[in-house]
Amino acid sequence: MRISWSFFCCVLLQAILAVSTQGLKTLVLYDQSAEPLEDYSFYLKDLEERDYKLEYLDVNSTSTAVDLYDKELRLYDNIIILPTKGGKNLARQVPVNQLIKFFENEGNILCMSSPDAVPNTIRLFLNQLGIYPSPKGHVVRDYFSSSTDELAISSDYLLNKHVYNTENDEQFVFGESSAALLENREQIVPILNAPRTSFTESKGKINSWTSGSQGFLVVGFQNLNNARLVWIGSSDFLKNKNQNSNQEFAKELLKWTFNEKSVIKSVQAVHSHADGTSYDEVPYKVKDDVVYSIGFSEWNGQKWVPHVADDIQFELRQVDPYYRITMTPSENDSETQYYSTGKFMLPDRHGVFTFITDYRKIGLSFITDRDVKPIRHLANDEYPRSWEISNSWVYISTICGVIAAWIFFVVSFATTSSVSKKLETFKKTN
Amino acid sequence: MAKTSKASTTSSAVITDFQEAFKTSKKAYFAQIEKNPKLKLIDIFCFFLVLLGIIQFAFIVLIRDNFPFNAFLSGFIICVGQFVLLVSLRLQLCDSFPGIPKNRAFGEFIVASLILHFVCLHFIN
Repeated sequence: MRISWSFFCCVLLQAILAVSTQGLKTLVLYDQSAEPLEDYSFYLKDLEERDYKLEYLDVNSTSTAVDLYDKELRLYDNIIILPTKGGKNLARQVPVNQLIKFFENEGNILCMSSPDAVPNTIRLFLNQLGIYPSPKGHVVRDYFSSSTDELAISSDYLLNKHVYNTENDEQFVFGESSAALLENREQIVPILNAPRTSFTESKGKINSWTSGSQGFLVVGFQNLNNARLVWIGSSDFLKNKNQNSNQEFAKELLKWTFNEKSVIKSVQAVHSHADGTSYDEVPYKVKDDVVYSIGFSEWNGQKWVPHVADDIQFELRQVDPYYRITMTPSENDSETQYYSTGKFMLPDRHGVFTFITDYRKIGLSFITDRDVKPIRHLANDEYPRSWEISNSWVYISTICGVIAAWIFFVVSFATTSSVSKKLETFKKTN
Repeated sequence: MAKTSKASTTSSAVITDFQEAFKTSKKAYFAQIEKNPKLKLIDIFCFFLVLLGIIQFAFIVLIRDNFPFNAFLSGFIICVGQFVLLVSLRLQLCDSFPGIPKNRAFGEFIVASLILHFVCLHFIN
């Protein structure tokens, strides 16, 4: 009993202290011979201070595959892959398909490469996602930049405010860096662009991998399960020696990767008749007035707070959207901001409709909230009768007039004789 | 010059011919309805129906909306239908079909009209 109580308390404590919306178990793969772990101690310590449980593994220590799964259960929530020289060892420990499976099962991944260490595993894995890092030996050069020895990128080249947003003019030190080409995919989150005057240079080769703003130095990817991946083109970016210039950005980048920021969720998507009657009480029929509302919360690192936006759209779909309404903020509480469509009239079309909010902003979690409901047609006694429509009074009175005239006609037709006039004229002539 | 005068004379000849024909048929027509007051009654009713039909159509054109379209149709169709029935009754009165006496024709007219009214009253609602 005691044990179970203490266990319960532990679970509760962990739930309270959790900084990420997901778990905190993290696997750190490193290569001591290439990039000593001590070089990255600043950020790793920072993670540990935020209750991340880091497990370290030198890729050269074993040659067997790391168990990322126990049966179907994912053992780690995050993987950090520091730059490794020997590509073969890494390929043995985390094969590409394992990484893909891990990523599909909502595991977050932070990986790095540098011009002299581009492990095949990471390259192939990133290629699956549509990110093409420059091959080994390609280095980003910018001969127009003021700092000659090391590549420094201005914060002007930041591309996504949900990942990192700064007002100050900062310089991020990248040292020797590779750059990636990107495919046109909605899941890719470009984070830091290469300067316009830069290109990748390879010793002894004429062709370059990227030129100008084609290249990206930091790239994110968020899959449909909202798992996140970040690739950094330089091994120097996270090193302790550059912490003065990079730490603000790097910390936010790590938070973004491990689902600590820019995580949103939708709550309480409800729709009802405009007068508040729910669907269960009175099912919808065509041309009913209905209201739809949904709440959005954002994780700020400690708790859920209202998420404020002006571009959340609701759709009423039957194959095609019949309505696409930008919702306006209504009431809010400490956790949630609610949005409402206001009153709108269902289309004059019966069938099965989907009430859907599909909110996908690059850098924020993807939200899809759908509810499928049938909308019935009018019953035969629900149409207005002719006399309730003022236009048809003309036609009704016509019909009445015709019938009255017809009765009058029949009576007078029956009573008049067809030859009476003839007889009269006869008499007159006589 | 001669050509035009010739043309004008032919056109005026056509007009006088036409006026002649029109006058004759008008005379014949009025003689016919004077002779038979039942025909006169039928023609007055027909004229009334045409008037109602025109009024309804003008209404639709004026308000530029045919919204209770079934109501318009039933209002218009009762005019047209009644007109057709009246004309067929008139044909039989003037020159009765072989084997059908005039009384029977009138009876058939009443039955057909009642069916028409029934259908139109139900179609409008």
